[in-house]
Amino acid sequence: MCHIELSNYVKKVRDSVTENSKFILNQINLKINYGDKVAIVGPSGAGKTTLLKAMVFSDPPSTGKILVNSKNPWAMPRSKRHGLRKQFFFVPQENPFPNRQSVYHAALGGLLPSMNSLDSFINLFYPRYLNDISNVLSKFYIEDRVFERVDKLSGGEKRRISLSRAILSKASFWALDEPLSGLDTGLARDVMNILLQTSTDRSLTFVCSLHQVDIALGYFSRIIGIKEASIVFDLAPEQVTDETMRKVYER
Amino acid sequence: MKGKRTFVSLTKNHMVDRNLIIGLVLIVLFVPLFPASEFYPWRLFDDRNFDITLKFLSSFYPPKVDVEFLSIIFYGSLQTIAIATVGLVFALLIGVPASLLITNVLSFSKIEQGNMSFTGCVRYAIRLVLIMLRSIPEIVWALIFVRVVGLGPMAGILAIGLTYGGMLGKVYAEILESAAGIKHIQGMQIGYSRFQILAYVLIPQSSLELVSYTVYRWECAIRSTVIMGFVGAGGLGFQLESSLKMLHGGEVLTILIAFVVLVWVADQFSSLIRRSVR
Repeated sequence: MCHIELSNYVKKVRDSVTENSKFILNQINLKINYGDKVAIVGPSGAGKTTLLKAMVFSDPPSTGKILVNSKNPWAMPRSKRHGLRKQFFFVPQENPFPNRQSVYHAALGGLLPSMNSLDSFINLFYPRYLNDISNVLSKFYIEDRVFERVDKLSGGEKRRISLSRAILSKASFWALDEPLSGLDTGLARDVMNILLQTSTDRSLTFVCSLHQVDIALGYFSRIIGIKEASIVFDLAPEQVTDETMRKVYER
Repeated sequence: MKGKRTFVSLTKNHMVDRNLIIGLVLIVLFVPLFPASEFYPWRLFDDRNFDITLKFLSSFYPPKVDVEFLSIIFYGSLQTIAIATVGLVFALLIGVPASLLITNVLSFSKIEQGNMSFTGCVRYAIRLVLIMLRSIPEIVWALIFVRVVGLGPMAGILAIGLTYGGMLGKVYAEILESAAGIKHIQGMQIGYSRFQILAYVLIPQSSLELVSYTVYRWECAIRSTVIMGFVGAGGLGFQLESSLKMLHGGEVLTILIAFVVLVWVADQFSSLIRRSVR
């Protein structure tokens, strides 16, 4: 069954110097089914992040349409659309939590969308979800830092907090932007195993952008190549040859 | 290749031209300000003026230090601090809710589409109220309230509360807006509520700025309380006014020293608070 569908999706921005509008996504047609495990590959600046943001309906398309469970979120009233966002968890490339915050509060970000205001207020002062959060952090080997301040941590550790948030969240759709950036090769494979295991156990739809082509081919069931704002291929990993990959990355 | 070269030269020209023009405009605007403000520093050192200044200042020495007068000054200083602090709390009651209402970083319509809507107009209306509150100087408010509630600290507290409420509301909103950006948009993307965006993203991002500005305003409140004493709104300034009027130079010097100590204490206290937030 279809989880999200983009049809003739176009995203344009105005170039500040030349004043021309520029495509970041050009005529994207894409269906993502429930439980799909999708890796998006392509050179820097191809539009990977914008495509992920389009899937979590972060901002409206210039033209074209997105359907979530066959409904258009941009045709909904704002409060309904915002409620729908709780089912979608986006992990950006930059760390999404402020630096002056404890690891506990940073990781709690994953649970916040499913919490009410009173609960989130109490958690500012009393860590009610310490067990849940410590469990998830221990999967990434950082459970001993739970009360430390985020700005004391290394880049790789911060990255793992961002990913813990995804695991903590109750969303049914993950959009992770470069989840492995800042992690060494060994750790990257561990982390990817945990992410895929969790997403399979919960039968989540899992879409991520990746620079590591070998990991994309080794772990994901569907690979989308994107270049210059357009989709170049959309194949199962067995069908991706060196030739198709080269076409995406060559200048 | 050709496209790339035009890109570089275009931006460079833009920047040079713009900076040059801004610089020239600033200079041209600045020159006529001297005659307009009647600022002629050499007049200070005219023979006649110099004599008067010297005589006036020398009458200040020695400061008056008998126990009775010092206890009056001490009580006056405590009252000054009390007026400033209570006034600031009153200002927070106005400023905090107002800043949350006028800031555009908690508006989902603004984050999503960047357009002004009905809520934008409401925000603007509240902004105008804040402008009105702070554009009337606290001394004018004090003059008004002295008429309404009579001589004494109450008038000072109300005056500080209204003026500073207007300032805090505006500046808190701006601090929150400068803390906004990718991180708070990402909170919106995964479905945070407004309260969650505020409590888990914006305030931790900018807590240092918020606290230092508040403490700085408290310092300012102490200084303006002193001035408001001149119109009868309580505190040390009230003392200073009567001593100046009666030409008791020694008392004036003692009070000025008390001011310096007061501001120094406030400064120490505020740096203590700032350090503990970091």
